[in-house]
Amino acid sequence: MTGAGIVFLTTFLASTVEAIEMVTIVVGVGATRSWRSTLLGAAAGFAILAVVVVGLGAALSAIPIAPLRVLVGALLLLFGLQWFRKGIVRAAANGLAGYQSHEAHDERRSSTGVDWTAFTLSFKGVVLEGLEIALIVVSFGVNAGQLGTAIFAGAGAVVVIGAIGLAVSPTVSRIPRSLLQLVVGTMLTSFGTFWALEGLGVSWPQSDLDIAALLAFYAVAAAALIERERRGTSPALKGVRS
Amino acid sequence: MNLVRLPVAVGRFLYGFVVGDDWTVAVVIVLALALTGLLVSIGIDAWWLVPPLAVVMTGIALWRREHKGMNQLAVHSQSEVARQPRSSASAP
Repeated sequence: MTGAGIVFLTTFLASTVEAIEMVTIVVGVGATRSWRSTLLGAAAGFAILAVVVVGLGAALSAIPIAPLRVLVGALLLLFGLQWFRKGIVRAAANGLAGYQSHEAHDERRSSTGVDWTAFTLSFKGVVLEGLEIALIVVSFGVNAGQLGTAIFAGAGAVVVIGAIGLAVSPTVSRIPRSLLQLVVGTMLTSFGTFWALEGLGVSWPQSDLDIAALLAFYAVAAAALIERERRGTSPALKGVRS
Repeated sequence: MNLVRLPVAVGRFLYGFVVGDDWTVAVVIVLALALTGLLVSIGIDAWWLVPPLAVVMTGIALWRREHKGMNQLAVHSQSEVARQPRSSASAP
């Protein structure tokens, strides 16, 4: 394989990991809340990203990514835990398939018609992950003297994973809302934990693979908490919740 | 929306987004993150601190919510009884 080929493959694969995280958040939030607001948030994120990338160029590597990871990670963790909690309560009260509450519709939009929660989650996911992809592109591209190839590979990874995300989104939208909220809450909590701690300087034992370990850990915890809620909730309270 | 209401609306949104319905979870998680940062700075790779604490706090928040819900249910039931006419309340 040529030097350009190696740079392309390395950058593409490294960018794919970040793009999967980005698209997972966008698809999960879009399916759970509002597609329009989620895509608006993603578009705003890409716009900010484009301005930063074009404005800074190769100087992009000077951006302190660690504090950004801590901030975005902590916010995702705190918000994710709220959905995690709500998902557990609803799954315990109504099962995984039966939830369609009024709250799901009422809490979505402000007077501007935008669901700011969906917008913000999507925006943050795109900016943080997009910035990481940009850093990968700049690092590999500049060091190998193949910036054009690296840009092509990074953009290609986002397009490919984005297309896969769009392709699976109708299937994701058909998942019962109760289950989806629990799954997305678990995902946001896992990503938030991973990013916040990574930003604080923690070295995860298995690097990015520990996102999967965190997902498994929180999923098992959710199952245990749902079981505890089911056993502890009185029939009268179930009526109040549903 | 006027300029006075905007910061209030933004503040409410941010509070709801970050803190939500149980502020104790947010406080404990922020403290746990600060402690993790501190441990990392003295050379301890404390990746094991936040995840279990997040689960424990979720369990506590669920328990508090259930406890609060039961109290509200009890208050609601008492007020329902108080509102009923004496004759129907004492009827068999």
